[in-house]
Amino acid sequence: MLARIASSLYWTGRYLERSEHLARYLRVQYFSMQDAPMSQSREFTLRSILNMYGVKWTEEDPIVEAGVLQQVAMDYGTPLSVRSTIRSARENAVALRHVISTELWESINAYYLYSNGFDTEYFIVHGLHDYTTKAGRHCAIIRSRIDDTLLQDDTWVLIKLGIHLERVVQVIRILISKLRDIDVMTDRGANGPLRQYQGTVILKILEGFDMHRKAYHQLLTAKTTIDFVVGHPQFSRSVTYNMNAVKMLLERLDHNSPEKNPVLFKAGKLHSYFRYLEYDEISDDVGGALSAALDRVYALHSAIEAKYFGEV
Amino acid sequence: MEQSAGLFANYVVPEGILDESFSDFPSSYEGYEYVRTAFGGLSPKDFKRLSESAKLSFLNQGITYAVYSEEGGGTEKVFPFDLFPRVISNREWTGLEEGLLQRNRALNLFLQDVYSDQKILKDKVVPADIVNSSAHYVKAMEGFKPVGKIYTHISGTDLVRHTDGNFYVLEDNLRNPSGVSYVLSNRQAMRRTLYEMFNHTKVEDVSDYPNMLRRTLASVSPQKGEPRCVLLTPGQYNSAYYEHSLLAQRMGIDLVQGTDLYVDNDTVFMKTMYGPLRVDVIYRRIDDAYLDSEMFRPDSMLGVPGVMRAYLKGKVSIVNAPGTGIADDKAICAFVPDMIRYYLKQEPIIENVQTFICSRPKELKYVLEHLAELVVKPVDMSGGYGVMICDRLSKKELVELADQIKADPRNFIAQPKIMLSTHGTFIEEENGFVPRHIDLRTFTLLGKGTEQVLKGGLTRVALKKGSLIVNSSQGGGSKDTWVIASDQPVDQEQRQEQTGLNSQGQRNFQGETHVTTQQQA
Repeated sequence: MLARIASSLYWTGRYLERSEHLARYLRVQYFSMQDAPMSQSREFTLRSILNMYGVKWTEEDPIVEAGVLQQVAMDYGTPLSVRSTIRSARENAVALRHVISTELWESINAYYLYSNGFDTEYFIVHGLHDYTTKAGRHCAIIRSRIDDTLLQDDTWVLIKLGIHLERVVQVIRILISKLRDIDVMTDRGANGPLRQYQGTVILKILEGFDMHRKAYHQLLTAKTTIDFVVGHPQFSRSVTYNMNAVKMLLERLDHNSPEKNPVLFKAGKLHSYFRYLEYDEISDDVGGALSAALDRVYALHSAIEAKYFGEV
Repeated sequence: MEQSAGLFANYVVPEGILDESFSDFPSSYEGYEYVRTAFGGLSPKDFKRLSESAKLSFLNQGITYAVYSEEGGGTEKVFPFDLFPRVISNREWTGLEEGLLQRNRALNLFLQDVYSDQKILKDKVVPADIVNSSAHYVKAMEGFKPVGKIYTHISGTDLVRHTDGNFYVLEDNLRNPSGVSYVLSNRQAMRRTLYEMFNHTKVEDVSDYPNMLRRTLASVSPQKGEPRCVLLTPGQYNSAYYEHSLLAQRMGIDLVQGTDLYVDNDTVFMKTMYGPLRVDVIYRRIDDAYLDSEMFRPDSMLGVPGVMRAYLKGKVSIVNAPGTGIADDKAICAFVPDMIRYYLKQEPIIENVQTFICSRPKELKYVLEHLAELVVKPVDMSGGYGVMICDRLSKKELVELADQIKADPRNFIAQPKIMLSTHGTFIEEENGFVPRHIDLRTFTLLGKGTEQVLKGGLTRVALKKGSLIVNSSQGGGSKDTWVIASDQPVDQEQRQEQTGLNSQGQRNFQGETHVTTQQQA
């Protein structure tokens, strides 16, 4: 396979997954503002949302809700907006039309057409829930097209590699963002229930609230939340689950080569780190530990790019 | 002639125009009545619904172009497509196919001759100065023989039907003829939308074109064994990218950009995830000028430096061959009938539209004296650009054009204004069908030991009232082109066979269903 095509497959997977997380994060974060513990913290939540989408702001900037929603979801000028991300997924997929199935291409194209055609004014006033929920549905259809209509060869492996690696990145980013929110709340003297509620928000963003309850049979704590989201081997949005998928997919690309593969080595070490992470060892600075781990995930990405998509 | 049925109510064929959907002419398809009735019987509401469905099919497939707004977003637009198909009878097509093969064989022999012995120039059948002054002449091709002596593997021949009912060649496209993806996609949209009509009319299949093309490419591989063919595209921002992508997908070959290839030891390789792979055949969709920065434009980022070296050493085949542009120069087009007589000792089956070569003093004099009646075209532009329909020019514009021609006569040809045939086309603003001018782009493939014409083609429609410019870049649309597989009407028995539902089959099918039900029980 052409190195350029391999790169586009990987990035298509990454952008598709990214768009779903960004849409879901926005929906849960925004509507959490309307729940009792958070309703007094609208401005705080909106600024937190801006951080997640990489939009710079200062304390002096007035915060206008409609403007924030437009910037993070609809604005093509914001590189991490939901719409920009969907467009990037489609732009990469355009280069792949000849190697992927017609069904997969048409599902990605339909996702873009849906997003691009969504009325911005309507989105701000009434459409946020509809738009972000349908984004998730489009992604589910696309994932089924990936699994059901592609040969499970290198094409499939690369697009899945992008999806799982991006899921690792996004889950860690969401955790870091929410941990930062908790720190700020603590500094401001926010009460325990409000801080506790952030754990619920994290699990709802990852659609893991019900399964967390099933796994632990108790009310969530900081420890159970981190254990579940980072280390649970069977929760398909946990960091461990996805890093394991990354490792296995890289093994398939390796084709049992007798040479030591540094990319595989990095992925294996990261998987072990997340799988066997003890909450008590990092409880003093969970955010710092996750930030350091995220840097190692980015280093793995760079190694993948250099080995498989670089110049020969 | 005025029609009075449904969507065709008030359909008026203009005086002096041949309308392919309503006029009687010797080669018209006898079964047109069925197609007309089927369309005429639709209500405007139903027709619009079908049109929207076809449009959605194009939109979902991504057969679109983006119109960007200032905010950075874009709207995806679909190239206009009209559902009412253009139908060509089997009898007429058989003659056209022979004529197209004849013409393209002669053009290929011409290129072979020009880049070797130049007999046709020495015998003064074609003036040497027209060839020598062509911007598309590639000196490096002199004395070189491509595999199978094939230069024009893919030719797009544009035909128009005149008021006498006959087709004439308007021009040849021998460099990178495009448009075949619309032939494939239009048919797919028609089959998705108006499937019932295909049960009544046996239409030649066009979906095998990618296989035909793949066989043509493979036939000119310089190596034995299974060749590695690639399609070289300028990239996804090129207006024909969809076509490049579709053809690569349907042929099962790699779609590469210049940066994906490199030349080492006069051999072309492509860069893959697991290392370099040798390339045998390059179907390039970029012009000569951008193909190799070592030989042509040094600033080109689109091509592959050194690819001409590899080609001239016989290590790789380039399709179409570099330098074929000399034969689709509009001034050369006028000599194709003479080429047919010279090389094939035959009379041309399809005539040319009469062409005046402005670089010939006598013809220049005629053109300048009759300018207001003619259509003037620059010799090396395509896409309808630069075409001047002189009876629509003001006196001042005519003087300016005459000055341009006099200043550089080699750059122009002139043709009498051909009144292109029309065809019923649905125009939203008119809320019904109205006549619009059409042409036909055909596709001929020549390989080593293989030659084929796609049974169908791209019917292009000038959507503006009275316009004769059909190119999509100039506001044109397209239609599906049906070549009838047999001019005999499809009887009941044949219809059942086509749908797989003959009486015997139906009983068997029901029987099988019954057995399955029993097994499940």
